[in-house]
Amino acid sequence: MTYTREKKLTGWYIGIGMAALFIGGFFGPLQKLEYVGINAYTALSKIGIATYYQGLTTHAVLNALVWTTFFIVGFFTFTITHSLKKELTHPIINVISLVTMVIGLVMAAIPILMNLATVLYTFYPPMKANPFFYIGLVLVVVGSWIGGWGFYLTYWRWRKENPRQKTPFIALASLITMVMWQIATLGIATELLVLIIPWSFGLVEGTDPQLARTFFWFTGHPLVYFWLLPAYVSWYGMLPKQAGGKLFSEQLARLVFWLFLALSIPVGLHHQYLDPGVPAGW
Amino acid sequence: MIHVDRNEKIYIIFSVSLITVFFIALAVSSFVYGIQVPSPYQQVDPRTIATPGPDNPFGEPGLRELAPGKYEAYIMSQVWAFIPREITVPKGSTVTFYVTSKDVQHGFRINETNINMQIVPGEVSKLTITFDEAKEYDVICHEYCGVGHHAMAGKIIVVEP
Repeated sequence: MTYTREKKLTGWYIGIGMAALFIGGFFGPLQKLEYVGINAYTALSKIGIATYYQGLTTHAVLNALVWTTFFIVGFFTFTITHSLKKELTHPIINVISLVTMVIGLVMAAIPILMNLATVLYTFYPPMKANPFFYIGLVLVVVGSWIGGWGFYLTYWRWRKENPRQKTPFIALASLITMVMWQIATLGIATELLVLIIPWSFGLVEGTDPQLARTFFWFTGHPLVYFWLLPAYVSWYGMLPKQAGGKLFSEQLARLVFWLFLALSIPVGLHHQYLDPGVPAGW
Repeated sequence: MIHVDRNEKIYIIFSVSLITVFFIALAVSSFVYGIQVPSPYQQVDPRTIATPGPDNPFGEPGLRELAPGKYEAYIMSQVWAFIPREITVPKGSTVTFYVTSKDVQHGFRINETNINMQIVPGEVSKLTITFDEAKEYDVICHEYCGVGHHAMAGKIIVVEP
């Protein structure tokens, strides 16, 4: 096994993710400079970043959404195939995933750079961005789902070939994280596809900001678990070996991931304690 | 059955007890100290909410005295201001705030108090507070609402009666 395709795919995902991180990170210091009275945006307006909030949107979308999602899908392409000791069974699906995510990224980047989507990465309606910003985000998310389907098919084949074997920890933890992500992002996908995109094209007259917030946070809190769990995969699955020991309790580590999957579903509502449309009982 | 080491058991018991303590503290604080959060109160039409009319207190937002020391304050948030920007009440007054938005989402927080609400167009956020100290409180918008967001602020002035 050479994992040539897997290495290439992982490289592209993580490479694009790293590029997003560095470009996005560049706006961090600019925000601090603004606080002390040094405004860099006059100079930056030549390349399209005219205001603090436009820079903040670029910073947030690139660092919180693009870097994380690209890195994680790439990282799992590596962990799942190496842990199962099996190459991807349908690599074309994972190529389609990568291409979909890149198209989405470009599509969302253009309105951001044109200052047509300065809505931060929470994009609460009724503040409205150009429809292509939303469609681009949907494509990034759907692209990551497609990557997940490629992993599931590979795992399915592995299971058929090894019916009695316990799933290796790293593969199991990565797959659970992917399932969690796919359940969690149903919120944001519904928000964008059902509420926001038809409205931003002007097809429907209004939207429901309170409902949109609820869909957003259904995704918004598990989103941080999605960022965190790949690190857990590394801490539980890789670090003990790298440190020359072994994982103290693998069964509890497995339980941790199953608990994350279950508890990630209702947790988003704690971002809405102060919402007028959410009963105090919550 | 999962084998759990003694050390792990100690950690599990500790963290479950910690969560239990937090949960009890939360229940106690909300019932005993009356910590309140906004709850569904009223839904309105943000397209007409700023239009003055006999049934629309947001048409002419402001402070109304209901009884001695009891007030209601209707506050309209819009890009990028609270209307009215400033209200003055005597010390010891109980004020119920009703806040809505006629455009995008805003936040309404009175610094150094428990009043903190998300303002969503179409919904009215309502909370009550008694001001026991004579001083000026800053009111800030804590939800990004456009390029003027950081300038959106107001004041509550509590004076000696």
